[in-house]
Amino acid sequence: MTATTSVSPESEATSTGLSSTSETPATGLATSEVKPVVLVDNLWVRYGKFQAVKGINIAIPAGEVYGFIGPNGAGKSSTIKVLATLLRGFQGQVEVCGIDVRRHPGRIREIIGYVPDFFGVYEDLTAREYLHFFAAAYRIPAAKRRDLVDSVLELTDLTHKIDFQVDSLSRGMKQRLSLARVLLHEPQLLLLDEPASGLDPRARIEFRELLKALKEMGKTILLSSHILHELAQLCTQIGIIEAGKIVAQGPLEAIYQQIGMMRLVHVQLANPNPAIAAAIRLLPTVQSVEELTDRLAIKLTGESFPLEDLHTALVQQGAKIKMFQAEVMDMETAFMKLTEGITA
Amino acid sequence: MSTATTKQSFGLPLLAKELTEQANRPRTYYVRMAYMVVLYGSFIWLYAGSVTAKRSVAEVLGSGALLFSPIMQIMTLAICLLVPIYTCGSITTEKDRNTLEPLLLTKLSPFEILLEKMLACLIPMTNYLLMAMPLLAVCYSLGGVEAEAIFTCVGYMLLLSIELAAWCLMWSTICRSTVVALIMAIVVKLFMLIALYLMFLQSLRISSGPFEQLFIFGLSVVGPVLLSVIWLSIGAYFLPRRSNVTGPGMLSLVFRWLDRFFHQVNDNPVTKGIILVKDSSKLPVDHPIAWRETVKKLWGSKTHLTRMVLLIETPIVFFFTMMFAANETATTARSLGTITGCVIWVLGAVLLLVQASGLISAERSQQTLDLLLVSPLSAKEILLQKMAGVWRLAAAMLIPFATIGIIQYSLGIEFYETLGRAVFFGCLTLVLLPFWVWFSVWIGLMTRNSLQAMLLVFGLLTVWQVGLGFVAQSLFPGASGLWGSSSVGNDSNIYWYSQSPLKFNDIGQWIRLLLLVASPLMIVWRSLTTLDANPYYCLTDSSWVMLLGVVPYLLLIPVLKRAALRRTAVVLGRLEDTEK
Repeated sequence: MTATTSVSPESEATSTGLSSTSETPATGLATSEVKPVVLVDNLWVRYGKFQAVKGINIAIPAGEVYGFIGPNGAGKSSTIKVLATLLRGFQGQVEVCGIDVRRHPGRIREIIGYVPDFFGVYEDLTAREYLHFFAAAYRIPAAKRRDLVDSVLELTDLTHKIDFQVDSLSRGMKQRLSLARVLLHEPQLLLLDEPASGLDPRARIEFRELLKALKEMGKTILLSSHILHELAQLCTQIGIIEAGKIVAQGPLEAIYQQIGMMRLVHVQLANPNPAIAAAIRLLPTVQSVEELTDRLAIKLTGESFPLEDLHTALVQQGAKIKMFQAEVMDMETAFMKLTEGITA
Repeated sequence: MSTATTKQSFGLPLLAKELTEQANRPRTYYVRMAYMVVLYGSFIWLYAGSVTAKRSVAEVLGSGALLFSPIMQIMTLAICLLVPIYTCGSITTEKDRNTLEPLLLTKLSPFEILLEKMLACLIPMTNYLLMAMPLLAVCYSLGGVEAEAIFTCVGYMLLLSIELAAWCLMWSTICRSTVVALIMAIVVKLFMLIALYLMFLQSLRISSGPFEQLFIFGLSVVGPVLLSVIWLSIGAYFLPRRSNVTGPGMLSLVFRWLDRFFHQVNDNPVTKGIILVKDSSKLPVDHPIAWRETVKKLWGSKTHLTRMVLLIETPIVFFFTMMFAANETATTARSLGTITGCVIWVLGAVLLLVQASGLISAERSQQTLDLLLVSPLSAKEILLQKMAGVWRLAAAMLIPFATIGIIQYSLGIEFYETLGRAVFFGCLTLVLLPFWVWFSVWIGLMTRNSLQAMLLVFGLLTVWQVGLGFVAQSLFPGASGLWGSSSVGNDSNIYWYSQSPLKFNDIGQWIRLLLLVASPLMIVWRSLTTLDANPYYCLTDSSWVMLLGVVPYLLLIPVLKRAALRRTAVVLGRLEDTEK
């Protein structure tokens, strides 16, 4: 688990008026090199007789984007709600920026931005009023609010909708407005619960780009989603949760490696020969070579061995290659392999 | 296979689903049990009072009539309460769950949908009627009631259930939320009945001729059925049109239409578009929730409240001016003032309690509660700011009372009496009402949705504020009926308490006193009726009884407020800083 060093692009930060996390510790809590922004240690959440979360551990360093994946009822939202100080009945240690969630929920609220899995509509407010409403709720000085609202609207590309009724906005716009809302008080941690759910492809792409911009600004983000390939593009770390337990977590590469997905190469030869397969098996990074009816399935162990070297080695053994295909990194396959379809 | 197909084609799928849901809901059995307890409990109580006290069998004969009438009243009351509760949510719930549109896509026509929904309400109501049959049989066996009367009354109740169910279903199709449907169904129905009574029924004299009797009977049977068909047809018309209602509510649309209308009227050479009351267009500064409640909400904004007050004030001023012109006496002005004041007070109280009980559940249903909870605002701040709109509405309510007082004074009612009335209504509005409001807030915090909160608030307040008075009255020796005599006589509670000093050794007297204090509406009613009978009464004899009734509530307000505020954090479920 390595902390990603992110440098906020000056242009973005300057143009929007928003500062990156590393530049402005909102509550005087500087991002620590040692302590992760999110620390969840042995978290248990229970609703009556139902145990929603069963002793999970998560550590998210500053600037990382952590993707939380799991089927419905797996415990994603419960974990996020604990971090958002919205759940009382939990066991375990939960800290955000080194602050204990249970002991200082008020301080936590000032450093987090929470977007729930639904969009709460105040149908009687315009986008401007909506943002000023929450700016006042977050006790942002009145003199700063106007510029701040303008800047978050610009970042989320909603400036032209500033005087539109919130209820009249499309779902994608509402979701961007939600993000604008949570950016008002410049939180260090963004908690996004299913932010892309129900969005059309264009809105989803726009939202993803927005998250990328925030990532580049150095925000630490924890987001849950069902849209797996999008998480793969955005997240630096993935946590797969099923029936309240984390089944795999870490950088995406590590997860792929863990289930042996990335290094599987399918080779189809015009001159299939057991000798070639035997020779390939002797290569130091090759874990196994499976001789299938129409192809060889070569599993590699090391990360450092480039695929082109394997190709060269095959040619050197006299192989006439008809097809050379590395198995595509696929979050969905990884998810299916790691989970067993257990639901609440 | 063919049997299954036949069953399917002639089946009532929606009714089957509704009945299955009802059967699976514990609430169905709780309500049934509560109804049973009230009905049978009342019967036993009445039986003990009227039949057991008789000395001989001959005296008992004919006493069935004494039991029959109150039982019928209880059943009618149950129908009037339960049918709207069952039906007003029938369609709005489907809208909430997003299941109405798929239902409309089936082969069921809108009328069939409504009909099946209505049957789903009528079956439990028939159940309630059947539950009373053993009691009616006892009444019959005691004598004094004819079998015809029993069957006619039960038949009318069934017709009442059908008509009321169709009426409520119609509002359920038109309105977006169950609470609005319930309020509209009850308020519009009441207005219709009052108008009908004033216009026709008051002057109607039923003659004893066979033809007239037949006509009345036919009208009373055909009328409800015909009305039911009309209500269902209107409902069927609106069902597909109001299946997916988004945007502003019906009341907001009415106010917007009024806005446009007034602007057009105002735009003339005389008034030149002058605006007397203008809502602040400023953005929130320090108290965002209070800002939204008092600037953006329908019942909190200055403009809308001014309109509402004007709407109430106009008829008051009109009627009193007419009285002034007709040289009416102070007695008429007094009576009219009391009635008008009571009606306004009750309507205002209902509106306030609905608002107060739905404060938090409205945020829940809008899915905005979590957004507020993750802000640095404390739970206490959230609740106190939410109350800003409620208090503004309560303040607006005081204006019509002031108008009534001023007009009554100008019509010749003496200053001290006017002052007495002002103190009286002031006590009610400034003490009793805030207590009820905090009580409603407290209940609203405990419940999941606005409807549940509203029903609980009105149910509990009725039992507490009226029910206990009922018991106190019944315990009082010589009381005549529920409210007793309106004159200041020896059978009056107030007279009794004010004239005879409290005997500390009489436990029964203490119990009665406690029950009366716990049921201030009883004191209110008695005071009002005695006020009309004796103008100086409120300032002399009964004043300490009034205070006795109000002071405990004044003392309880901060206690209840504190309990509600402390409860908020716990009920809302979020972590608070004080916790370890």
